Amino acid sequence: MTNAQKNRIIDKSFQAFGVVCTFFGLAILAVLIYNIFEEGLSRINWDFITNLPSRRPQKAGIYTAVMGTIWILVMTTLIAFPLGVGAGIYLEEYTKKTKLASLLEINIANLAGVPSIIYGLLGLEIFVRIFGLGGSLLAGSLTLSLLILPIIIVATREALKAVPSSIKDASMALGASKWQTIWNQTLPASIGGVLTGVILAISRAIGETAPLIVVGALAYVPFAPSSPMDEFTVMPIQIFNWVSRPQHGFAVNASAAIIVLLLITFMMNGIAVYFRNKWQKKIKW
Amino acid sequence: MTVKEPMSALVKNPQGAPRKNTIIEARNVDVFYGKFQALKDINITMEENSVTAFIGPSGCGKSTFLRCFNRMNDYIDEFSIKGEVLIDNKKVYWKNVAVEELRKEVGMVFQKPNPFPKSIFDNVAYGLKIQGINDKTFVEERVVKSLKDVALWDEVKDEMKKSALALSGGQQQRLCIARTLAVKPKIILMDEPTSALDPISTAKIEELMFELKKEYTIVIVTHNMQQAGRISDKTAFFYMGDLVEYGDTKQIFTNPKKERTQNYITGRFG
Repeated sequence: MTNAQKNRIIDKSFQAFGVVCTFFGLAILAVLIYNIFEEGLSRINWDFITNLPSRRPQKAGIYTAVMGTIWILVMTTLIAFPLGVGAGIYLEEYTKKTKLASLLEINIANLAGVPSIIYGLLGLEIFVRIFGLGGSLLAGSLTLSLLILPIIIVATREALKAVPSSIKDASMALGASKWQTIWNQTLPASIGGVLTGVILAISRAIGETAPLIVVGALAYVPFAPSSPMDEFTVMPIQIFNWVSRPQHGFAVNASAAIIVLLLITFMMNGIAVYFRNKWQKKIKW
Repeated sequence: MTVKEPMSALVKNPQGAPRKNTIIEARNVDVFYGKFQALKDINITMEENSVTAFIGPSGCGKSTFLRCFNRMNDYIDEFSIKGEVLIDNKKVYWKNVAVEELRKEVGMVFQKPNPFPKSIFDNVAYGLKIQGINDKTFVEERVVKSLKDVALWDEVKDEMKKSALALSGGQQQRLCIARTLAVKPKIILMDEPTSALDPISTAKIEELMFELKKEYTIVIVTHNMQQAGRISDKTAFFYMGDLVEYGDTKQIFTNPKKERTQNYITGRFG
């Protein structure tokens, strides 16, 4: 066998290995989704969405969980978006590149990797106990905001960094203040990237279970929340609760709820991808 | 500028003969980047309605010096300056100077055309917009006038809403000059404005500078010796942070006093 033939065999076998790697995860995911859809799809109807939880699986619905998730989604966005983007802008545009700044930078990147249960414990101590918010939506949203802040900050900084400094120079040289430059030039040019980061962070937040359980979200809430101080449950907790029940009917309910949750996260990711594409097309330097 | 310091009267010739006023002056200027000294004891004066060219090899400090006039060096960490830079007899580096006001007086055109990713109209109107000027007819008139001044109006008048990024490089650079003119500065700093352009676009910009000189004072950094010779009234030659020679362009190019200037101009180094 010549060297060239040997090389070609190695080349081909690596390609085959790559194909296996690629499809391994996808295949398992496909099986999982197939199972869930087969079991749960027929259970999804309007009643399932609008019914309150019940002891009987046929009557049980996800209304309180969906409403809880929507409340959490909106409140977490309201809290985390301004804080995260504001911090990102400050760190990227205002701080000088000192040792303290790089220390901050490393720490924020590390925070993004802290297990979510730790955030849950932090939220339990600070928001639930010290602030006395109890197991409320507000405590839950604040905890999830903490969880996704590092992600939003990092994404904002990356997006701002992608704006060429020549644009900022041009704006400053015309007599614009720093804030005018950020508001009129840097942010419009990077808003796609910022929004993509925020949406991905929030879609992560609505899938979180552990920190909310720690904070005190309940598995059974008979009414949909109507104010930020109300007790609540969210979809992942509802699913977790149903899966652990012995009756088969609840397993079907769990599958159906998983489909709904998946749809919500896919939709949010879709929006994020849309923004990213729109942004990339619009700006060519 | 909103400087409340007592201002010395404009420089007047004691004989009363018509003489141009000094508009830019540097006294004993030292610039440091950390420990590295980029400029050493620079003294220079520039007159109103003149074109001054800064020449010298890369890294000689000429761009650094140019950026002292509108304080664009402020954002460089570790930048520090000693001595005084005066524009209209006002201290540029005085602590109470509003930098934004200074930059309305001292405009800048950069090496690479850098239009905003906005429409042609919005690009030129930007400087007015950030000053809070919303009078539509006033802004429109100023935009049209500025575009006419840079001879771009005829080329873009039907597509003012089009993105400025769709223009050619030469058009973009003229747009950037128009954008600077729109805020009516007294001084225009140009940092190698034609180095990214083709010869025809370069010629257009040089032509433009002759016109602009009537209303503005221009300081230009250039690596193109012929360009300095063609367009400038005075030339300053920088080398390794020193201002080696400064004088009438004609004299610098035909009869330089320093050997180093002679060598650079004739292309023996640099």
